[in-house]
Amino acid sequence: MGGYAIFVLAVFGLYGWSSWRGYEIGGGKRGLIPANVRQAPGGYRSFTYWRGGK
Amino acid sequence: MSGYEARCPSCGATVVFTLGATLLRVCDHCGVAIARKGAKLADYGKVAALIPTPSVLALGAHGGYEGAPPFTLVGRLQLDHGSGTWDEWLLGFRGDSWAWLSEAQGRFHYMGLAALPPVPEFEEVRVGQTLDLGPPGTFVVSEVREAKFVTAAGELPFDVEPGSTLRYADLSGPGGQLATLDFGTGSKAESLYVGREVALADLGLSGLPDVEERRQKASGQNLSCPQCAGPLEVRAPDQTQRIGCPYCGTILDATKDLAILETLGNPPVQPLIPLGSKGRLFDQDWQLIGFMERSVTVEGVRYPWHEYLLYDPAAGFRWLVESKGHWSFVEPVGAGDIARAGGGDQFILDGKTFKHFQGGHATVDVVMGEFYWAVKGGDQVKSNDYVCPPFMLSSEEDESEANWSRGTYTKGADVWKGFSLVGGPPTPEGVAPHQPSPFQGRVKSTWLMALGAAGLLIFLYIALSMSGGRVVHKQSVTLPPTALSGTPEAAVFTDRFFVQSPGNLEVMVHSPVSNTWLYLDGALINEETGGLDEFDLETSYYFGSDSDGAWSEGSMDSRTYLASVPPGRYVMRLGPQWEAGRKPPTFDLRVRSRVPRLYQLVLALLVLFLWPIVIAWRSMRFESQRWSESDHAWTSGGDDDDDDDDDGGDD
Repeated sequence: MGGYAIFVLAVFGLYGWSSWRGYEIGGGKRGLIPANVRQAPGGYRSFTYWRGGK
Repeated sequence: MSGYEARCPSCGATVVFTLGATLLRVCDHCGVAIARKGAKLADYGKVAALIPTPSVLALGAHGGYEGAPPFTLVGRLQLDHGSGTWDEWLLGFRGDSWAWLSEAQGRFHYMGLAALPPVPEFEEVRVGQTLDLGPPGTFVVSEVREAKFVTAAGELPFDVEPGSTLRYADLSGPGGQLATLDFGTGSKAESLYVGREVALADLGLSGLPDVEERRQKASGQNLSCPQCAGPLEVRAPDQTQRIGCPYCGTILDATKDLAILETLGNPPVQPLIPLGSKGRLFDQDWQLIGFMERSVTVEGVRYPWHEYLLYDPAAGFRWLVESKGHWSFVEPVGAGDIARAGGGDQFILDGKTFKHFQGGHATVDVVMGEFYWAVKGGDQVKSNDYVCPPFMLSSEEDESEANWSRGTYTKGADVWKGFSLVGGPPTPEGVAPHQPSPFQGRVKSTWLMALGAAGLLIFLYIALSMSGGRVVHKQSVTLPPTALSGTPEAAVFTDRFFVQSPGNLEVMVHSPVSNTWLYLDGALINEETGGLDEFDLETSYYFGSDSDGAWSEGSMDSRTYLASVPPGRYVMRLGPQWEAGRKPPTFDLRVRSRVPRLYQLVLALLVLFLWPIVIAWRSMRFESQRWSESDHAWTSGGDDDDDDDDDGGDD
């Protein structure tokens, strides 16, 4: 029973932590807009990085 | 006592009937049995000399029991049902009342006269039958026998010629009560005696030789086997009826100067615990005095097991049984304390329900050491085992006797430790019928705990739903009227918004698409760090009607979730694409932070129940292994045995 109690606490902890932090299964990797783009006038608004889409 | 004095019709000596109720008296001078026939005396001839038995009592001894008037041992009756002689002592009380004290195998039973209720005739009484004896209660017949009136001394309360065959039935009642139905020499019951087992010390006897002194003197007798001359040590001489020579297998009669009864041949097995070993088990000191191998044969396969007879002068006899490396400590149980249940396939003892495990015919194969009954090689009884781990209830019966015992599963290591044995016990094979499941009580409690935890988890989800899901941005976006689908010119940037707490972000779009679609190539941009989370959203909604009627598919709403978005200042770029010529003019955007996810709750619940599912499966596998050796194996379409281990009753 002690083992299961620890297991339950672990599940609670994992669920609470992932909910709080907003983890998603298969969540995409965060990218970064290059510093020179961010520092340039107009910055990312004119950034040609954006992909083409559908 | 109201005495009656007369002259012996044989020798003329004075004989005194000390009790008014006694009808037979053995003349102390000539040994003739004299019966009172009204005012006359009848001579039944000379009785045989008393058979030497290991009795510790003597005529003329005085005592008192449980507030009854003081008594004197006034008569001694010796009976034999073919397997040994035992003594019945007549206790004469002041006031002419009387009771019996039965002495057999070192055990004493105090039996008082009770009112005789209507009972079946002797021929109709069967072992195992339940009889209502009136005020004493309902009793179970444990023995039905005929015994020969071998000889007597002193006086007796009945008028039966020595040498006659007497009929009786012994019964076991609730709370350790015992009863004897005395049928005399006929078919109808003549009297009923009810009582219980008593300790010699409880009888307050005086005028006896010192029992302990006799025992000490007699114990440890060193004899030799008349067959092979092997040394024999008799450790319980006042109890032993048979001795099995451990060297040549000969069974000797301990009551008749070690007369050879039969030779079983050299024992093919040796006890794992040496005969004579002393140890302590279940808070009691024991000495191992006997060893037997018994077996049942099922479908041509012989299944042997070993029984070790333990003895202590104060505690009596117990058994230590070993089968396939599994050990049990076995003690006798009164049939009257056992109640039948479940259509006869189950029994209840001490509030625990025992399920039938297996039945068979147990045969004695090997005998070594001392035994308190007249054991023989090849002795066979019908046996049935019932289990309620860690206990096993066993019945052994033949036509005239039934005995019940309860075994308690005992770890081999405890036996080894108790007897200070060298090495370790043999490794147990498989699962014993009454081996406690390692999952005992865990299945139910684990499921209960899992259900409780699931409830808490759902509560936590609801709490998170209520506290989270704060809208951090809401905007109605108008698409550039001249832009083409998928071009940089069509892309729009949202107003700036702030995320206060770390967590996920839900991005939801509502677009009034009608039989068309809108695709958004999105990116969440952290203006402070340049962090970039890309995502896709698509709304499509189609409807119409056909021969089956109206139909629709898709939705005007679409949402996606971005993981672990840190606090900060954000803007969103949305690159729209649409079906040529069907551009929706606007769409609504809503962004919420810290939105609890239902799939995560479901996953957590699944993980939570994984443990109890595994425990239940392992428990079932253990029980399946246990019952595979029984008469009710699950694999052969077993009956009602598919409960989990929690039916044990002692969770």
